Amino acid sequence: MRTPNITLIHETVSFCFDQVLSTLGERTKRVIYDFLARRGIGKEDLSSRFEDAEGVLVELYGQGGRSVMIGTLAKLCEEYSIPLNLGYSDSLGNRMAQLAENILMQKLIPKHFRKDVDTRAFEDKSGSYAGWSD
Amino acid sequence: MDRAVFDSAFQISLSNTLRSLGEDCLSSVLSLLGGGREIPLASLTAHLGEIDNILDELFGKFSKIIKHVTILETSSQLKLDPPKLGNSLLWMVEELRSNLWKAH
Repeated sequence: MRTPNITLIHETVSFCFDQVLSTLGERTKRVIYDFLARRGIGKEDLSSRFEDAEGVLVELYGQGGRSVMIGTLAKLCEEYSIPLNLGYSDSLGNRMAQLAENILMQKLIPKHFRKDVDTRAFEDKSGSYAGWSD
Repeated sequence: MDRAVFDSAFQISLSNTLRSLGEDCLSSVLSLLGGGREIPLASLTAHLGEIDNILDELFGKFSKIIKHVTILETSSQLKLDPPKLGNSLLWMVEELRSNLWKAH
């Protein structure tokens, strides 16, 4: 299994952001990605430019837009089974940084990645041991 | 587990989520619940149906995310598996309560 690293955190933040956007509907999701891209924020930059993305969403939708970033943090914490505790920080960007530091220090692996690895390992195994395969 | 512990975890989660959205969000919700006068935080669980409607009115599509965050945070505080995430805060809270009873 891959060791926890910063790339995996970036991937997981993008995965969680995408999941949260899905609750708003496919059209809204596309609009938000387009809007972010026009401001130079790609899907892969979300964790490193968390505050910028928050600013764009607040500009676009007002305070409600911030809920997307809070939802992303909540999903991220669920992925890594750690508490969200929003009250621990003065801003969402700082909380993101604290969580990333915690994840790296504790060498945590996200749930969706574990599932992915388990499934691939199972498929590899059943493929090589299946009676009908060579 | 005591009912008060559940209620307190929910109140803290909802108020933290709303505060994180913006300074005035929590007081706006409390004020709308009380018909112009802020109701005390401790009585939030008594107004679940109304909170559902107020969040929908104030935040539109985003209310769903706010409800999900509140439920995920409450579940995490109570060390319970979160229920299936849906549109209704009231239903998710009821489901979480039943998860709590099953767990004890």
